[in-house]
Amino acid sequence: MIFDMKKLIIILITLLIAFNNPVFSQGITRHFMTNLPQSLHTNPYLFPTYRYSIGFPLSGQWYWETKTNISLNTLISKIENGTLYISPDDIISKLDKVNFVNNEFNLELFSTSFRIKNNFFSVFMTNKTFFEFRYPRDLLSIAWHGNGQFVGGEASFSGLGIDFMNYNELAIGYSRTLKEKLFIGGRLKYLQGLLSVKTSRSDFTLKVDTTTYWLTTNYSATINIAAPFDTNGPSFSSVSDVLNFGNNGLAFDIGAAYKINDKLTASLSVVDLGFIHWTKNTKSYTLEEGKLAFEGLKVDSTFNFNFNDSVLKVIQDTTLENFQITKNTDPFSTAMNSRIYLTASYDLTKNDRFGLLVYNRFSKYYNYMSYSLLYQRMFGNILSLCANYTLTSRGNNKIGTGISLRILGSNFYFMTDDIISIIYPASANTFAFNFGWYYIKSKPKKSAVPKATF
Amino acid sequence: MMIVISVGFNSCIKDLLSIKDVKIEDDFNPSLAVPIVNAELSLVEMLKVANQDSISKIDPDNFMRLIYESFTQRFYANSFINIPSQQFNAGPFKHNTGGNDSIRVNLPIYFSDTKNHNFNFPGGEELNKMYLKKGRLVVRIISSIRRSGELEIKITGSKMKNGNDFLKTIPITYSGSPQIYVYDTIDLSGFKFDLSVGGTTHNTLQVVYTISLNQNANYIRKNDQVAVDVYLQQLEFSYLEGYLGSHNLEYNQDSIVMELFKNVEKNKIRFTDPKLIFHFGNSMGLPIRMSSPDVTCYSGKTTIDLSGNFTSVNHDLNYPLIAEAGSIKTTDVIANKGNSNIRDMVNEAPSHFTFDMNIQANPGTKTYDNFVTDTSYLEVKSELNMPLYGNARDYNVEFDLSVDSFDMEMIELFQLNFLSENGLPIDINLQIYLADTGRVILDSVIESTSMLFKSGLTDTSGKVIKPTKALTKIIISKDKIAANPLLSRFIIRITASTTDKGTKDIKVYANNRLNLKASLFVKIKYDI
Repeated sequence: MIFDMKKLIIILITLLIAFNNPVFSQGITRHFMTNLPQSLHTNPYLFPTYRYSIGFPLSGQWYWETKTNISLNTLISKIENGTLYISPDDIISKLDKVNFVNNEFNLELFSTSFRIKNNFFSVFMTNKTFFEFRYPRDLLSIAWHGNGQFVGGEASFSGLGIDFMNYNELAIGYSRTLKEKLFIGGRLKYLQGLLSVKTSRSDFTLKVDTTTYWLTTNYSATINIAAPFDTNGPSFSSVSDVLNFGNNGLAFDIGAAYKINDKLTASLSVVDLGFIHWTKNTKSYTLEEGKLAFEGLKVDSTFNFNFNDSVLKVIQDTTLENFQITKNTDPFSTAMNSRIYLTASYDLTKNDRFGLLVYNRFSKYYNYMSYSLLYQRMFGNILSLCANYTLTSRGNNKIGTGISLRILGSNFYFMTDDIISIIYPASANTFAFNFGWYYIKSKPKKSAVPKATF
Repeated sequence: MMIVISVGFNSCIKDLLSIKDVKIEDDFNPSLAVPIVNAELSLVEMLKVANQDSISKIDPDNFMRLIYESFTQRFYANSFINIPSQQFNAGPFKHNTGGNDSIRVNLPIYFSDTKNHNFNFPGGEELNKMYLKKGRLVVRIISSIRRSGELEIKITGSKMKNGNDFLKTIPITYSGSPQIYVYDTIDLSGFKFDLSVGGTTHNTLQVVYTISLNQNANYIRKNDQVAVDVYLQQLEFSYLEGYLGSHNLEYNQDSIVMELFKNVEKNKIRFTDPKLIFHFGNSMGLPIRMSSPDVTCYSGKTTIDLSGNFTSVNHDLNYPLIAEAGSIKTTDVIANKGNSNIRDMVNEAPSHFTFDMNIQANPGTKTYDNFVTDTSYLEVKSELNMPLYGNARDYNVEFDLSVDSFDMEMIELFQLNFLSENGLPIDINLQIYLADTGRVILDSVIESTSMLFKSGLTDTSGKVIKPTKALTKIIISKDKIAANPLLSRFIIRITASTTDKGTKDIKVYANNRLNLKASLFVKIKYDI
């Protein structure tokens, strides 16, 4: 099959890059660059060395991360003489049970953090947007290989769906050091939901009987929407309908670090425990849990032997009769996707630090875990470099880097969790960029404050 | 580092932007597993599929029989018994003038006569009672006696609609004209007439005429007279009683078409005890006889007439007695293997039967206890009754599946699965032939001689006591298709025989079922 796929490829790349999803963000590099206020997002117990910091509105605290469990290289078999070769067999074999493309985009509107003796306070106001599209492997597999592969088994289409959420987050953090050995902290977040499309339930299976090939599907699905549009298009009549300011939520981050000795520190943080309760412009579409079996043309005493009706029509009628979608406008809640960071760091020298990070995020339909090795090098108070290597539970690996440069009292930084995605985008599973600048007031020279830790 | 990034990125993007075509490397090679039919069929449903379900009948014990029926023919009594119009007269009545040309009579004049009028019936009916649904009585009086007066008519034993005795007075008015004409019409609806004169005779209407002429000054001339004519017209009975005559009822030759044996050679299906039944229903109160049934079956060029004792004896039908008027008496006249050759006829696998017969009312001695009403009838329906007890072999059904429009080279594997539980006492086999456009068979698919759906296990009476389960897979491989490049159609032939290849008599019950789950696995290969 030959056709002009150039546009398709470009669109595909664009899609991979354009979709954002903050909830799933790892922020591996950011997590380790503790000299930046940004690190507080995943280290709520952090007790920085600087006195205070200010992130000005729209001053460039941008966070952008795109992840997918398959890279473009997975889709491309080879490119030869201007021809792109695609191997569906190979692609399907490399897919996970549930696959995803997710994207996160965070725009920090304002932030500040400051220390008062052994107490550290922070305030962050951020607009966050995320998107995720999930697609089960069996859906593509059944389209390409047919259902014969599932004879005696079951195809699962569970997880198929789209999530999209945009909300404002006001986070107030507090951390404290106890005898310079234990560091504890937390952030309380007020969430203001603006727009949400959530596939909260998407369970579909298709069972193929060993002998009779009877096809049995179990299904249930729910899509919650809080947006000024409906299945029929826009559904608003005034500005207030568009501004969904009535969706309130609450979340918090907690964490603690313990200095085992002068060089070794262990820490644990759990972030984004919470929810948003959506009340404005809400509608939920539910396909009630059911079961539909196709056992062939049923011929018995009840059968109406009218062969003018095609078999397909009989099936269609039966199917439509069973699939009943209900709609309601009840409020609903969406839980934030919590993440765990388990970290160990070792200060080899005053300026060289190694770390080991275990990250986990639990999803209803897939699990995403990663293991990272990190290294940070400080060049005085001016320059900080970070490099890390991450291996994900999906078998992908990536190399992340970060740089922070202090000029005229401001820290400019640029971070990425996957430098390969810049060098060779086709092989990337992650596109993650984090850049911006903060004004940071350093510690007083004679002060005996604890050094940054995590 | 920036150089590495720049070189790598440029190289990657350059590759992507150089794409002009896209090719799928793999063949499209899906496999599909689809259930086709989930059938739970008794013979009733099988006949339904063949549009023959109307012929199946189920006994209370679920035993099945096939029944072909002719149309019902119905003979109403009023189609062969008619009451013709009658005409009676009385008079002429004259006054005795004593030989004078005229005399003066200063008193009223009276005439009276009782007459027994005889009813004429063309069919030889001799009635005792006649009740009318409709009719009229017309009286004409012609009088040359120049006096007014009246005529009184009384019919002995007759009742009017209201139950009173029939007595009619008709005025005669003289107005100066030489002749007096009087007409009168009486509606006879609901009238009941006794035609037996008190049980002494038949077809006789006794009428008493009484004429009274008033006194006046006119002379009575010797030729003056009064004449009375009575007409009974447009008579329709509601009830007749007596002897209703001997009549032949005209049976229209009928036929039954038997689709069942369309694809069957003779003696391939053998019914043990088929019957030909003539169902009679009779609400006419008179003896009726069916005789000389003329039944013929046609099987190809062969015809067989019904023969045996059944055809040579008379069959008298039941009929209601007078006290049972309104009821219907049934009679089944049955030709079976004991009194006829009906079994041989049925086993000839005929395409159709024709029927004719003689039906005679009052075929024997005359009796006077016959009766009919206007709704009395005799009806007759012919039925070929075939209890599903017997044997059959090599009953074939064949149909084609054209694959002209399919690229058969795409097929890598074609597999049909049949999971069956056969509770019918019938072995069913299947063969799939590969044929060319002219239906010349190129090859067959099934090499095994084993039965596709083996008959259920039967007891000595032929009744299924345990169904037989089986899983059969029929595979049409790519090699088989490739070896027959002229393949244009599949000819699918289903062959059915009763238990043990039709050597054993079996019984079929409506609760004998074939549970069949048919499914298809097909693997195709398409070079994209």
